Amino acid sequence: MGYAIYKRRKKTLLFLTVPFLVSLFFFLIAVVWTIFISFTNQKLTGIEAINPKIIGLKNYLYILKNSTFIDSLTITANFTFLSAIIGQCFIGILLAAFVRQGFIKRPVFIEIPILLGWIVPDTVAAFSWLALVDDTGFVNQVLSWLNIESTGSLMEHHGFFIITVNNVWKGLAWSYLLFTAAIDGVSREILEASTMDGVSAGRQIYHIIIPSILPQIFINLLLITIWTVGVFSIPYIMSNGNPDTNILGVFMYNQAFASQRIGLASSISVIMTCIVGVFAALYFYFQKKYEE
Amino acid sequence: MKKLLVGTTALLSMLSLLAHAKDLSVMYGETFADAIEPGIAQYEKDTGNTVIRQKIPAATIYDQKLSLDFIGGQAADLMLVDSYTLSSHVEAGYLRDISPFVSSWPEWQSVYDNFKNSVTFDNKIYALPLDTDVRMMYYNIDTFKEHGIEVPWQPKNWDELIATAEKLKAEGVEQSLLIPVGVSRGEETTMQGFYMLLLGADVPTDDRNRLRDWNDGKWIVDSPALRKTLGFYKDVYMDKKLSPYSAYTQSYNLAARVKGYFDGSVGIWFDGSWRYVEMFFNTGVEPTDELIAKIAYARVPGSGCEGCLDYTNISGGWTLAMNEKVSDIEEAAKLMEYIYGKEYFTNWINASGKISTRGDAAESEAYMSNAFVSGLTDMVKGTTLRDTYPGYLIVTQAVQQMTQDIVDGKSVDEALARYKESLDFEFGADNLKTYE
Repeated sequence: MGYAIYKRRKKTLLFLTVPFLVSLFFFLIAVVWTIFISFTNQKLTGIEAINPKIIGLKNYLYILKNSTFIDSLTITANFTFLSAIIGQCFIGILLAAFVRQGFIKRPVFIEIPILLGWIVPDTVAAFSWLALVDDTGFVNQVLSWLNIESTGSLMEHHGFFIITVNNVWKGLAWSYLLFTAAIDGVSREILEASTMDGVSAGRQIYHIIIPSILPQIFINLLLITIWTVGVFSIPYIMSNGNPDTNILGVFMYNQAFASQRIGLASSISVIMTCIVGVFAALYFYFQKKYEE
Repeated sequence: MKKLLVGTTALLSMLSLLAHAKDLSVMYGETFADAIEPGIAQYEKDTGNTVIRQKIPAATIYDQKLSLDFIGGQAADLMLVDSYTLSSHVEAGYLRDISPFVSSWPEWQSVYDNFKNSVTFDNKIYALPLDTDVRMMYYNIDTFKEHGIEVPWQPKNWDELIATAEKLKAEGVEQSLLIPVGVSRGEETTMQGFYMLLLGADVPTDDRNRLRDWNDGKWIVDSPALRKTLGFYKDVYMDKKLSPYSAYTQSYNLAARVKGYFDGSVGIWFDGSWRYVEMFFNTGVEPTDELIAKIAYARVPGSGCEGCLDYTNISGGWTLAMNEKVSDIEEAAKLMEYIYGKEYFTNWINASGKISTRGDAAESEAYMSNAFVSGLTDMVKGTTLRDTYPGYLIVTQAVQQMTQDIVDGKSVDEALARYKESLDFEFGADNLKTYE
């Protein structure tokens, strides 16, 4: 019988081998190439386009001291903390728990808007949001009907807030679904018993639900941190040129394609990878500690 | 025998497919369709060949796409190139020397000398100049009259310019002074805004009013002119809040801008001469006589300092170039000749409101009787070109970043320090200089 399974598996493995090798090949080429050109002064045009020189750590030394990069790093850190860790993870747990505890009678009414955020392509989402917050957009229109003095351009004055809320909406579905599945696994008996004993909903979440799903929380934090540090499209489409939304993805893009310094931009992407790597290591460390 | 016949037929049809894969391709922005397409159509009709038209939507950042196409080896056979990127592309070996073909053409003979020079590097011709432009401040005659500003309006210095904008702002004109700012609009910020101020911010001697000192061969990283120009930006967007800077972030919406210009929510608007016609291109606004009568413009004044320029101007323009890796040189040259043909060129330049780079078109009756274009003659005379020395692409992006730092609330000193930091990394301290 074991042999039969092996034989069946062998076929499956064979089918998987080709796509695996292809993706590994392209992934490796892209990664190795990026690391390599981050040590050069490669550009998209000019003499360095055909004749790039290896300049060692110069790109890294420059970028780590560059004030605009430091600003961008700070914005990205705030953006990741507020939109991913607080916005997606924390609100995701709360929503999933409230649905489980029966506070939300018809979860479909929150599930549809949340899932829409996940399904709608970034470009479409960005332009829909622009229609809301543009100078002549929906929000300003409503304010003017209500005779409330508009603050002028919402993107200009509240750009960071807008892209943060937008990213919560875009990513909440993932956390919500993951935690809904995880909370389904929490023992029904314990929850019911605690309800009988008069434990409040908040204390249930804090003392029962969160400890039970801690491994899932770690994995979720890891994934959404990786995704959020790399966010590019919506902030770029909605607010490129807005100083307070100049996150790393947008900053890197402008170095690569507006300045056409692809070597310098590659060093930024390597640094971003390292930052995400540190977070990944931390999450794994805490998870291991928890399991012990 | 039958097998052989089938085999040969199959082989031949495959070969003909391969031959078709070698169709010439031309890349151009959609606003240039009228300049390029009539020539292509005629070429196709006369030769029976097919030409692939790579018409790029106006919303695409054309310069970035072109560079990527080049480095990826996917660029078209012929393409439009913005003149400020020409020297970099020539240096990278992307463009083909077209002197062997064009120097004998009558069309080339009629190109004005300064434009011939602008596309010639090391005595080799790399492109055909299509158009040029000048820059000004547009205003709506009705808006100005409504707010009690005398028309025709022409400020003599920056103080008068700001004063008018402040008056408009006080009267409720939301975007009372629009001058391109930030990285999002790319070259527009440097060309349409920054340069127009910089050139009038200090005396022209020793290139004190430029980004590069050409005698010393150094980029200027700190000068009174740079400081005054940044100060102007600070006045407009931060201290006096004459317009929201979000007017030039990515959500920039030309259709809304044009509508605002005619409705009275836009006051003074820094833009190029081609905007006169392009106000009605894909913006949903129909060109009626009533609307056209509202359009007026003033020249951008110098700052008003002793010995500075009275009015400033800087010109760019687009060129038609050939890929170094062109598939069929002879045919590509032939197609180029069609596109640049006198008749098509003259028709286009007259309809587009652009300024001719060629005598043959400029002498046409329609061109000479075009009131808008002939009004620009004085401006064309005193114009200058950008400091498009190789490396300019880095400098211009750093300039845009500098204006963005100002609207981020940073001081002029801090913005300049960052500018210096960026150029120092790229060119080394030996290639930079400072004016006290």
